[in-house]
Amino acid sequence: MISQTSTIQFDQKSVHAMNWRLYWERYGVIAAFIIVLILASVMAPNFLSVSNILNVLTTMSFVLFVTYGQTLVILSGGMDLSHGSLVSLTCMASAALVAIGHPWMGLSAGLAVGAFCGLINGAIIGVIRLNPIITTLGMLYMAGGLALYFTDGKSIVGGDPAKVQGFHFLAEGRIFHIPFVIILALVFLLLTHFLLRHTRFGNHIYALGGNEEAAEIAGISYAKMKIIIFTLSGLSCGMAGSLLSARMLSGEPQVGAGTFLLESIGAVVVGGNDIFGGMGNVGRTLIGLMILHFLGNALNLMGISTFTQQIIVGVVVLLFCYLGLVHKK
Amino acid sequence: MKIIARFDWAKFGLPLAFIAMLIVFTIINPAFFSGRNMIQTTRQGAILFLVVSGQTLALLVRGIDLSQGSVMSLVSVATISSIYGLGAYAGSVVGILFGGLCGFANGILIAFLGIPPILTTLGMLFIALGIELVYTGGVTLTNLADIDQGRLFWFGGGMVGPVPVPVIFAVIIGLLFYYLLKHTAFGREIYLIGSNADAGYMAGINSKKVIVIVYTLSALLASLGAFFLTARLSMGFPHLGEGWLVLAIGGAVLGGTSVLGGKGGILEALLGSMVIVFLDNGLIISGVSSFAREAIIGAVIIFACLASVIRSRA
Repeated sequence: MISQTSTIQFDQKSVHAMNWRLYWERYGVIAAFIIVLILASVMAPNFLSVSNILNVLTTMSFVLFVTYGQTLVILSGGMDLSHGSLVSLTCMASAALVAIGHPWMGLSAGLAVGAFCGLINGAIIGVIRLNPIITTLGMLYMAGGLALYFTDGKSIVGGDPAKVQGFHFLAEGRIFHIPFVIILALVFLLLTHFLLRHTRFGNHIYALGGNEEAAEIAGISYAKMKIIIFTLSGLSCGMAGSLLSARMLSGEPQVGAGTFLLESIGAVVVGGNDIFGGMGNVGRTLIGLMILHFLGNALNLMGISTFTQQIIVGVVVLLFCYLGLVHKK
Repeated sequence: MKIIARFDWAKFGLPLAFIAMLIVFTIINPAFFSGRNMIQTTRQGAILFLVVSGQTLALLVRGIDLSQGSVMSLVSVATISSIYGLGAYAGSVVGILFGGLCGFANGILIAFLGIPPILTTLGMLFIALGIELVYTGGVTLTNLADIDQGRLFWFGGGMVGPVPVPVIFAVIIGLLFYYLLKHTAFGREIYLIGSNADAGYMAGINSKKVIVIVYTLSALLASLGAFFLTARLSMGFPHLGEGWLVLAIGGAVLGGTSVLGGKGGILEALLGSMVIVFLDNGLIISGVSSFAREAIIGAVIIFACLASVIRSRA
């Protein structure tokens, strides 16, 4: 036995410093978000109009689904790099059935394909214990190739407009002037929050992310958890992919190839969730994604090229890291 | 049976699979083994080898470099636009240095600000990509002066006797890095930092300096690969590096470099990149569509990694 006595002497000053640090870590992201909002409304014309805000929120909602999955994965101490391609693949799968007149089958197909790819990820990571980054990187490549292989890189169009109306409503409909997809995204936000905070499964996610070995000793099955978490992550991509096919009523093989992956990881990180797992919540992810999207929108309105968005995300991630707003154990 | 049991699969399994693969592709289509195809494929392999070597260095210090792909795109664009003003030789050097600068920034952020490598290089991925896309507006840069185009093309598409120019460069650089890793103090420091950072600290290694150098080299090697590709195309392609990140990490891990640091090296990088390039080429020659090829290579990378994990546990 090693006996260890450590005496920590608290003086009033350092306690205050610690408190400030704690507050900064906890609420700094919200402060940053408010600063972004103020700067944007001062500098960008028309930023504060209802239609613009709703526009940003609608575009954001499609990405939001994916970030829920990523939040689960990152909180449990992993990372899912396959998101972009999985969105493309599920969008194609969904659109293929929509085009032959089965919109709801299309939705299920998108969800099923996403969940299946996630299941494969989870099985490889959980059972064989391959590194999550390698596994999902391989899946990124595979799913991306498959999405293009289906149609030789062409998009899927067609479908009977009368039949797909209800399906189209999911993505483009409005209830009391509020786009339905925003409501859907909020419902799933609450569901994910409930899952994380009020179920045993959620506790296990935090435990696994906090200390893998301790969690396993405590009897949490690593394999089972990883399989479920990555399946849910794949499912979230299926949700985004299907909704995108509902929005466009077509399947684009590269719809997820752009900034999906970046935003999905970026939102989790910028929101202040611990990149190595164990700390954070899905609300932080929401704020993270809002920071990225409102910033991008404001710059767009100021007439700055859309390509700058990529620079911004990169800089914001690094800056927040530096400011200590990003948790890194 | 005893011979099979005693056979060191961990060491010779992949080379054997590689040879078997060559034989199978030759049977499917004898054109695979023709001199012309082999030369073209080694040219491609030399370029991938450079990029994979860079990634290997980052993996050896227990890091990862996710920014390689977009640094390659940046270098392609920077090289061509520098050549517009500076001529082929000086322009190329400036273009490659741009890549090195990205790596240097990565290293500084990781070593001195303590930002985790995966976040730093992810951030750099988007910053480099954004910068080159804003600069070009997504448009390919062409129209080099004839003399510059001729000089530049030699680096990517030229031959010295029967050997493509990139292969010669890759061999020289490969030997250099083999020596660096295996026979210098700096190489041992890299392995020590990767396998046990605390021990490295106790041994008095200036790990910050090593990490900055490693990430700079990683980006420089990717930049060299991008330079040869750009030279062959003779144009600045803003999407040049798309898909290369997977190949870089996949090639390194496929060859046997560990993502947990401290294990692997240049020979592993060589083997991994050769397997990927010849597999890709063999699939093309067997008439597999380019999109299916991506899927197959992704699967092979995963399965090869699986095999290595299972092997290491047994």
